[in-house]
Order: sequence, then C-alpha cells, then structure tokens
Amino acid sequence: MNWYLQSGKDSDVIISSRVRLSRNIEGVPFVQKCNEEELRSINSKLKEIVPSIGYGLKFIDLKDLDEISKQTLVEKHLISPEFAKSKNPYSAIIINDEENICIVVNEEDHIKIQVFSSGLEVENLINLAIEIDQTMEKLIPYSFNKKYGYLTACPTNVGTGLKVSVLAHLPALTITGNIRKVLNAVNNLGMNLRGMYGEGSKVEGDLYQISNNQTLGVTEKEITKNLKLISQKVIEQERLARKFLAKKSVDLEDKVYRDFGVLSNAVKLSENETPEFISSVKLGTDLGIISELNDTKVAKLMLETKPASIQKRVGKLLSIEEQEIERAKIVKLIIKEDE
Amino acid sequence: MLCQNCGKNEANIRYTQIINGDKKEIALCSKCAKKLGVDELELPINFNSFLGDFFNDYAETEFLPMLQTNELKCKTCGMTYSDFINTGVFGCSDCYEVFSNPIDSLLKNLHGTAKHVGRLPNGKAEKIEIEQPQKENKANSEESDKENKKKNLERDLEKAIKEERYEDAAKIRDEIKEMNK
Repeated sequence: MNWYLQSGKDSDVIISSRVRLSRNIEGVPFVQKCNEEELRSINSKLKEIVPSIGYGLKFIDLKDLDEISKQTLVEKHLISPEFAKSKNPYSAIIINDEENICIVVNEEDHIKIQVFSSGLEVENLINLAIEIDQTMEKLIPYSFNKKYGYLTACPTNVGTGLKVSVLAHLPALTITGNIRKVLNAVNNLGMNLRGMYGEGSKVEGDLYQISNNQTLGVTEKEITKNLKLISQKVIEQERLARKFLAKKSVDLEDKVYRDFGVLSNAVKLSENETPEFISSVKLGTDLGIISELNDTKVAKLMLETKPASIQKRVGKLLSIEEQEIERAKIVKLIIKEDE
Repeated sequence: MLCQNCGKNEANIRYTQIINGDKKEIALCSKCAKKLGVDELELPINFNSFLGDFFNDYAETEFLPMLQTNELKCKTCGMTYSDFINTGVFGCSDCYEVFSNPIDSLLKNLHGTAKHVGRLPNGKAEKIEIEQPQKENKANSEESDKENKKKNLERDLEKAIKEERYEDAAKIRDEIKEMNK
C-alpha cells in the first residue's frame, strides 16, 4: 500500500509529512538562465545517475505524462500545480513505485529531493532525504558556498535548502473558532501555517500546512526539531478542541452522521462540497463516532474523489457533471469496501 | 440564496475578503460579480514579485547609492541587480558573490542571519534524532539515560518476539548490540 493510504503516527491530526531539499549542479546556471543545451544536459545527467541512486527510482520525462496523470501527481501533493503546467521540455521526475520518494528535475532549481510519509514522521524523513542527498552529491557536485551554504535560485531557500512540512487536519479548531489563534501563534514562532485552498476561497476540508520559513543560519536538526515541536503543540490544541466538541456529543454525532448520510446516499457530489463532508466523517472516525469507516477508507475518500483521480480511474476525460456522478459512485464503493 | 448586491438573481459566487484576520463574505450573482470586478479575479501576483519589491525597498537604505547597486552585473550569467529585483530569483551560483553586498542585509531580514550553519557537502551526516522535551527536564546523567534506553529496548525485544514480529526484533537486537560496543 502506498504511503498516502497508510495511517501513521498521530494521523488523527497529521495526515502526512514531507521533507524537501533544493539543490543545484555546480557550474551550471540556475534553471531560469539555462539555455536549451544546458537544460538538456541537466536532464540527461540525472537520467544517467538514477540507477546508481537506488531505491527503485525511475526517471520519467514530464512531457511523456498525459494531463490527467500529471494532475493526479498534483492531487497527491507529489509535484506542484505550477510544475505540472511547466512548458520546459526537459522537466522530469524521478519516482519509485511506493511514491514516497519524488525528485523533481528542472523546476525552479535543478534538483528538488522530496520524501513523504503518512502521519508525523519528520525524523525518519529527514534522515532518508539526507541519505539520498549524500548518494547524489557523490555522483553530481552541488553548487555550494561556504558562507551561504547550498545555493538556490530563490534566496528564501538558500543555506540548508531544507523545507519540512506537515499537512494537518484541524476541524475542531475551526469549528470552535480557535484556528486564528493557532495561526498567529505558529506564525509568530517563525513557522508558516496556511490553509490548503481548493477551487474556492474556503480552506478545503479543514486542511492546513505547517512548514519552516528559515533555511539559512539554522541546522537541519533545529529545523526538524522546531517543526516537530510545533506540530505536537498543534496536535495537542486540536485534540483539546475535539474533547470540548465531544461534550456536546449529540450535536456532533448528528452533524457527523448527517454528512455521512449525504456521502453514502448522494447520486451527485460536487468537488467543492465533498472535502467538507470528508473532513466531518474523518473527525467522526477519529473520535470513534462512526464505526463504518477506518483510516485507510478515509485516506481513499480524500484522494480518490479529486477530479484527476476520478478521471484516471475511469480512463477518460469527463464533464463536470459526469465527474460528480462518478464521484458519488466511488464514495459509495469505498464506504462499502471490505477491509 | 439571492445575490447580496442586486437581490434579484441567484447567487453563485462567494467572495471572501480577509483583512488582518477579519473575514467578510458576500454572495454574488455572476452579473454583479463581473460588475464589481471580483469575477475570476486573478492578479499577476506571485511570491517573486513581492520578494523583488521587498529587496528593492531595503536596498534604498543601503550606503551604496541605488544607481551603483542597480548596475551590478553578474559576468557569468549576465544577471543585473534590477533583473533580480524584477524576478526575485538569481541566475547562477556566482550571483551570490556578485550581489553579496546588497543581499547580505536582505538575507538577514529573511532568515535572521546570513551565515550557513547546516550540513557541508561530503561531510559526515549524523543521524538526526529528536529527544522529547519532557525528558530534557530530568537532570539524568548520560549514563543512566543509556541504561534506561537499553532496558526499554530489551523490553521491546521481548515483546516483538512474543508477537512474532521478527523483523522488528532483529532491528532492536542490532540496536542493543550497537549500544554494548
């Protein structure tokens, strides 16, 4: 089972963790200033070393992927929406079957090493990322400066080139109106907490991302430690808020089962409303109110109801209405699925 | 729901404005939304354009006169300082040297410092382990910490064997071996 369908540590609140290292190849301009020949050589250099990196990684040129496949990668947060639209013919990804390692080639920087896990798992991830990084730097010399560390196109990433982030599900803090306080506190601590926006302006499915801002003048350990501590604080606050909600158990149970009722019975489900229902039934599952679902089913609901995933499953492009009908069918199938 | 602007048509666009955390929401029909200019409003704002302005503003207070700073040019990739201000990204590794003077104070603004303290290439990487803060409070000596850890591991090993998780058991056994060295 791929990492995004597994349940991890503290996964009642933390859906997933990600560690990213930005790197550039020594003696080659950053992507924006590269000519065609340089871009091509970065692409072929990386293609060449993939077998030596190991981990079952495969090199895939972005131009060889169809639009839906690219969008499913975006929906799994493996690549950025901007990268999926990249016109650069030498953009590529290096990915394994488990999809817990995804190295992006020729985005803003030459190399972006990314590793993923479900739940709060930042320590194992940073160690894995560094392990991959060390293997790679023996094969390609990186651009490094004694004073500024690993050099990146954008000065916000320079130094360690490290961004650690977690995706948190914070429905109780949202319902109780405490999310703003948490946002302020986290942002004051030099970390970045922001909502994951969907199509509309509302934070989609009460999902928030916490990540570090500072990459220079801090060690990899400090960044990881701070992010873990802050995540644990957020988890604590969210669980407190859930306990408070559970006091009015009838109201909560009613809301959760109403939303579950829509998911299990609707014939059409729109892209906008579905994350809200899923957020609610996830909360119900985590609090033991709903026994019909489990962690894997909830993870499937979150992922397999996204537009590209639906179309990938069906194997063709669908109109919005066809997607809504298909989404309702998929939701019913997942709910009824045997464990 | 009816449009909150004209009160005639069915609202199909929800416009949210957040200023300093104050959230205001208004439901509009597509006609009014277009009229008010909130229909699919997509300003060409990206992070980089913000960054450029941020840096530019800072550079004005530098001792170096603006003109001189703007004329700085990286010989390797041809990037000028004003290019950087417009795009927010550097062209190549050498830009960091060429623009070192103006960007040092800006990096301090972004990161609080302008000096790398993290890993070095080809250096030995120590495994990163994060101890829980509760444990830090106890003034345990390193020795007894080690003893405790060993005891815990031994307990885990027993449990793993009992539960027939042999793969885990092997890992724990190796860890204990490592500690006894």
